[in-house]
Amino acid sequence: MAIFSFQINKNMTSGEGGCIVTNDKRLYHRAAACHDNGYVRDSGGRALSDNLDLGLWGRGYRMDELRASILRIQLKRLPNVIARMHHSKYRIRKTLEQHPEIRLRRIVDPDGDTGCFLITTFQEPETAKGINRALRAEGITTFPQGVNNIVMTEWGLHIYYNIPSLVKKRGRDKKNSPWSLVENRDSHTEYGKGTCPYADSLFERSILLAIPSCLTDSDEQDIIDAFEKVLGSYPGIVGSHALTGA
Amino acid sequence: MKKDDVSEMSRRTFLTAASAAALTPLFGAAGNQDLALHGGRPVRSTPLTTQFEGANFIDDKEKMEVAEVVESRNLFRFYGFTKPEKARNFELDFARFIGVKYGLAVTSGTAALHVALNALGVGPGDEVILPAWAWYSCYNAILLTGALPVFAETNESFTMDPEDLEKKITPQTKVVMPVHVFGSPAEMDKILAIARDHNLKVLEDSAEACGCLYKGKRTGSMGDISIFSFQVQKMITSGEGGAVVMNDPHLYERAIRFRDLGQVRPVFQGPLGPHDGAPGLVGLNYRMNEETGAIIGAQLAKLETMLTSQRQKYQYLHTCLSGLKGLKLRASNDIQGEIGIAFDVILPSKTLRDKFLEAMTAENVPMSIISASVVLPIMTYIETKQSPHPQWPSFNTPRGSAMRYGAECCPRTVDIWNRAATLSVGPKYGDHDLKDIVSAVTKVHAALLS
Repeated sequence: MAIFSFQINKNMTSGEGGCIVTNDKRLYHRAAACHDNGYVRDSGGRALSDNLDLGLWGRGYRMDELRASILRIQLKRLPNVIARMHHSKYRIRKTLEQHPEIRLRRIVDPDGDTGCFLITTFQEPETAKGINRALRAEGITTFPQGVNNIVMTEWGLHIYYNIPSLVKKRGRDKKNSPWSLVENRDSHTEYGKGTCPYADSLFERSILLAIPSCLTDSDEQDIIDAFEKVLGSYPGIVGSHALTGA
Repeated sequence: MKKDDVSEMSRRTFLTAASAAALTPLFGAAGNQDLALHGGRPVRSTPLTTQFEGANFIDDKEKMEVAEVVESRNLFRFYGFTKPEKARNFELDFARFIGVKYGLAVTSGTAALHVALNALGVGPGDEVILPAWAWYSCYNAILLTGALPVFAETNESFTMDPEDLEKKITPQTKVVMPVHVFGSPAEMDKILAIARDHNLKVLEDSAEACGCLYKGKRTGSMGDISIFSFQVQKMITSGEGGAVVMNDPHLYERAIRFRDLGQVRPVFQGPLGPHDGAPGLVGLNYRMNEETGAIIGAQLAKLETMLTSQRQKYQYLHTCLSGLKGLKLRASNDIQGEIGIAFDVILPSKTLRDKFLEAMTAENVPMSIISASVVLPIMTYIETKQSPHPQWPSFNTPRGSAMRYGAECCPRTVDIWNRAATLSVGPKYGDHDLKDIVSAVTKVHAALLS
């Protein structure tokens, strides 16, 4: 199974929404039951509530027709949106490949990459912070800023140690379930920063830049120029004017 | 918005009812009208059709509101190209309409139940008492918290029987969930008193009763926390949608967080006031989006008009068809406060009920068994205590393990349900449709029951 989100920040959107996909018919029916009231429906829309394998506790996650109609239009546009993001990202990325001080994200399948984010990783956290500040000072920012052009530690709930309920093991009821459940008594997993040190290090040293699908050639060039200017001036960057005092 | 004044029928309604009542003796005379079931001429030449409530009133206003959202591209309620407002404005308007301090828009009534129960801090080891006759979501939401659902009988109002509620209370009981089914209020005075005596929280499920009144108060305004549904079969609709309402800021904060990944967005900071009573509370995503907020906001503006019209239709039927021997109308805890979306009757036996349904359908005025809410303990997955995981906490406590559902835990409810029949009162039914209903019921009653 796989899941997708159609929240406003996604490649296609209805403001809020999502989708589950699968090739397995049984899983499909169970997902359908779970997303409805806990049962599958017949062709007339009536509940078939006696099939226990397909009878689950429904969670009321059905999508309405209005959002679906918006998404069908968005889906038709998706290839174009992806093509434009991909083009913008790889144009910018190609110029950054000339800079050995930047480690670019390893892309498992560049042709399959939708291109919605550009991640640049640096040697040191202070370098990433400084470059990020300088890029924003050059105008590489959005309003509202949202999660665009940030050091990845600022990426809110996307980063595990930024989730207070997880780190502090806060349950949702008076007994602090599920942390207090007897079934979990032998679990000593911690979730604070340091639990995943390699990831922590990457987050501190990486800048996240969202690539909208509406960038013009001029916008792309602005981003490239800003990187060139900032990298050329930043102290400690090989090739930077700052090293030679130029 | 002001509350409905439904203390008196309009003069027109009274006169119409009086005329219809005068016709009753004609159908009461046996043999004057052969049932269509037996080859006689049906009351109507075409079947009376079921109608959706709020969806029937969708017009240019909803279109305009949605168009505004699409044109603005502000589909997400918390940020966008400009300041999104639809969902937030709806929350403020809805809270005012119900008569509470806080309202939160969510994705469905089921979601609202889940939010409300988590706001109350319900979890493993707790028990929640709900009526045996309710919707799947009432049971499912309790199970999802890991708590144990306990069923109380319903009475002939089809709502929770307060006497049986009191019998079902244990030291583990934390919440009582009265359900205002079919637009009709539960007996809130007694339920609230019992809850108070036992230090229990009250979660009103008003999913099917948006706009219903109980002794002058809106259903949803009396409990500690309440929920509503805006699914397509509800009084106002956005296709899918729901709301949670409350007066307690602590519950409000917990509901805000649980409904939105544990966070409190800037728009809630002011209304919430000093908070952080629940920092780091885990949450899911039950946020309403802007286009849904746009539609439901437009629907809410029409609700008073819809309620007035619906009540007049129902009061007419109730007046015309009261007092027919052997045909009991569903009892009401506040007949003036009923929305009137369902005309329900109780027959002396299941056999007679089934015959009554057959005969009514043949007259092209279809009545049916009641499925808008169901007798939950006899649903197979509930009776067999199906669980999403073998170690799910609800049934792993001694009480949960010993709990038995099925017909034996709610015999009175099963008996009533087996003898009950319903007819949806369509919001666009005209006078002739209402007269056909009266004619069909009196005709079939005369043939089968008098």
